[in-house]
Amino acid sequence: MEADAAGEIDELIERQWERLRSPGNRFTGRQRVAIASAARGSNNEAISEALAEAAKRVHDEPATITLDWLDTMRASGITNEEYVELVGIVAQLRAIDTFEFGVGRITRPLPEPIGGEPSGTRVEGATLDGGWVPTVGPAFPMSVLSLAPGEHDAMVDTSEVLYLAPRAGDGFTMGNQHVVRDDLTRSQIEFVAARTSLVNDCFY
Amino acid sequence: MLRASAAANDETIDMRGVGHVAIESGVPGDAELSALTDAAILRDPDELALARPRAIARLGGAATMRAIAVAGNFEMMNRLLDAMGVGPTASMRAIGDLIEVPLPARFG
Repeated sequence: MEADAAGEIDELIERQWERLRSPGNRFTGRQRVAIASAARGSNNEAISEALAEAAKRVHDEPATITLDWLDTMRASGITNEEYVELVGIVAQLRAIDTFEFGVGRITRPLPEPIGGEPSGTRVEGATLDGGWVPTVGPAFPMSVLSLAPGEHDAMVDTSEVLYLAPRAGDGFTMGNQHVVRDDLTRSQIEFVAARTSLVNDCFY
Repeated sequence: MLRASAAANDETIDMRGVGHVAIESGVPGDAELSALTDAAILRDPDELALARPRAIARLGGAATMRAIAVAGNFEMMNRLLDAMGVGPTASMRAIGDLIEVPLPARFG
């Protein structure tokens, strides 16, 4: 069972690394890898100082982020679409880095970027609805990445593999209160979730 | 979610145990899970070297790996929500009182 879980998670990491190095909605693969590099604390000339600062802040001190700070980032030229894609990249990187550190692996080198242009997808129907950036519907965990559809899909993939699928039904889903995954009961799973949020000073 | 899962499984949970390691929450292996979670997300290799074998001894290797994966997932979710300004709902604010962890001033 342990080997099965590790294999499933390793496959997720391979998918995430492929997404990271590929063009996104507003950033090229080179810029996306540079954002990940900046989040880990390395300098990279492929992105602006503001993007590097934002990546580091989201990675290291997310609970200190305020609307005033975000407005400063926007005033420096970061668009809402760029910010949402950046947050998605950094948050998912952090998930993988935490897992690999926790199981005793060395920090995985970032992938080599591949060429191509961002998709430039424009999302219709997004409005300010409870968050600091536009979302399709009220701002909550499943809508916060509305402006970056690729990041949303990657976030759902990550949740399904590392935690539980964000849907009702049997199996490894959030709707299944009796689920046991790899011998960890639902209450133990939620205890870890609550403890993580507490240590991170996240109160959602 | 912890309260909901405990209720659904007829478990008695003391939510204060999430924030206070000296208080038993009623969740099996809570002390080991807290130590493992803290070591992983705070990037503390010395604590991890102690916490992981203790978690494996108490919960097993598969459950320990899954616990680390869950911590990783919520590292992601915490960042998504905090970076986008999605704060606690009114019902969530009451949980702060239950676990005896006051909400920070930024939530008003």
